[in-house]
Amino acid sequence: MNMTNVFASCVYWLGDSALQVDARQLESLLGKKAGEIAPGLLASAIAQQGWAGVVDVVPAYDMVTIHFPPGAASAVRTAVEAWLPQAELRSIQFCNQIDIPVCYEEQLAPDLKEVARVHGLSCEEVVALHSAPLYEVVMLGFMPGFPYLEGLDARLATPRLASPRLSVPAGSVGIGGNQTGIYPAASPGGWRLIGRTPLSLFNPAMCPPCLLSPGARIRFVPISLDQYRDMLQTMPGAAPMPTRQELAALS
Amino acid sequence: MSIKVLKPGALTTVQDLGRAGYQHLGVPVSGAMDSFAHRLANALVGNPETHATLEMTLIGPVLRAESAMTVCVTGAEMEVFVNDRPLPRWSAQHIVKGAELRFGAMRRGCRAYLAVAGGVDVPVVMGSRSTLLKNMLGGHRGRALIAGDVLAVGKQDGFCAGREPASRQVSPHALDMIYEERPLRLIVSRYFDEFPAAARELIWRGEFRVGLDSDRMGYRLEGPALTPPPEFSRRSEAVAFGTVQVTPQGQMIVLMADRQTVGGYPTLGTIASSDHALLAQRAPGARLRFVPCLPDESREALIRMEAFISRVAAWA
Repeated sequence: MNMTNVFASCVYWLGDSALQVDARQLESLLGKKAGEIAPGLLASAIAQQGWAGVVDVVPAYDMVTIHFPPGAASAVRTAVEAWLPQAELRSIQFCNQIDIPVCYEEQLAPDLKEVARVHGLSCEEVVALHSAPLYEVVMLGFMPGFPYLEGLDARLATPRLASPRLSVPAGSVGIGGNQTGIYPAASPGGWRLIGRTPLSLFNPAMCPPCLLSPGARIRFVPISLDQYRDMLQTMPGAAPMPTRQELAALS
Repeated sequence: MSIKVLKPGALTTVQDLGRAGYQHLGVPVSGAMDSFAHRLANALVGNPETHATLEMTLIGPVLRAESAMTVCVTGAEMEVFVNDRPLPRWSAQHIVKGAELRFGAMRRGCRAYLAVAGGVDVPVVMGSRSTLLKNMLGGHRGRALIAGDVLAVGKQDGFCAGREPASRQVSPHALDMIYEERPLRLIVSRYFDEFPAAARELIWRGEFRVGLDSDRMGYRLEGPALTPPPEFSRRSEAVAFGTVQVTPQGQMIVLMADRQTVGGYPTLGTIASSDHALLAQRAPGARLRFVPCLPDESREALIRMEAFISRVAAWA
């Protein structure tokens, strides 16, 4: 059997201007363990190949999507299928570890008490469980700079709010189901808010515009309200993105 | 050179071909919904296709040219007036300083594009002048135009100087091929076979309508409900322009320019690129039908469209 055909089985069309590479199927074909290929790593390796026509390479939980103009479709497909069998996917530790300061105090954590109550824990225990793990950024999506994190302690999994809030403040750290994440900008949201970071996760004026990227590892570091206020005032670019109302008031 | 907005119209935004290279960071592509009309408008005034245009939706704005300029209007069928005299569409037109541009109601289609020689000159944000309304990013102050806005026009390079604008005109008949009302070509997704048989038949036989709550992020379709796969356990994955999702309630959503970069709903497929212009011109209330298409079946139509655009660009 032609080697190329075998690897073609893990590549799917997403319309005529994108291809999806299934990371789990690729793992089997390469004889790797399930979950061994981090999509962020695969996406990065593909992006580095620099195939003509590739516009975006987007990792998600189980697959990587390559976007290109329709005219480049056959060339990109050929390149992908030729590359996959000998894809070098060394586990690169990227971005080291980013510490995200989070204030878990009540004024910035409207749902913390409820999350603690639901799980029969104290607020301190929730904070300890939330800030212990080293999380991995699997992908960004939903809005610019929004990280999907893997590693939330199962004891903290909490269903989303029945009615989402119309506006969640920028920098809010939340739990939604068995996921945790950070809202880079004010947005409607149904996650349980257990803290807030003074860090800016997305600033279009900066290069790169996002603090986090797929494959990054992060740890939440508890800070006090005073420290939160200090950081907000003194860190360059620390202020969270202004709300729509604030921006409207400026124009 | 600049353009003043006297009345904003229903939704007028600055758009170009979109913000490429940042989808992995969760940044939507945005850009002109009907990129074909946008590209032709630019080609006809001698601009590179990457220059920004004004995308006008349903009801166009009232604009005043603060200096003489060359403009071109493409997209939806409607009357255009400059100082109360009709202005031909799909062709480059010189307008004098102080000229007022007015747009009648859009008939066939719902999006029109105004290109100006030199391009609409708003700041480039992350490589693009496109407006991402939801995040107030790019375009003119990250929002739709309002009365009183003044838009700078870029310097016109020597590219189209010395060419009679009247020679650059596209016959509306040539456009029928692109915009004729017909079923949209849908390239099925890898999950298509997981949908119940009844849903898989309904997608080809059913007639759907673009819901009134549709917008630049997506079209919410009305019509028969499609049962999604009973046990769909896939996690969020990237989506594309024209990707068709099905909600747990069985409603179809066709993702458009301002879509989020990833989605968790099961997908039926993605509409072929050759039909994106037609899709973008389907107004709220318009009918939609789908026909199956293999990924390379739309290639011929695409080649014809690209050749068409190249020929027009070559006139300038």
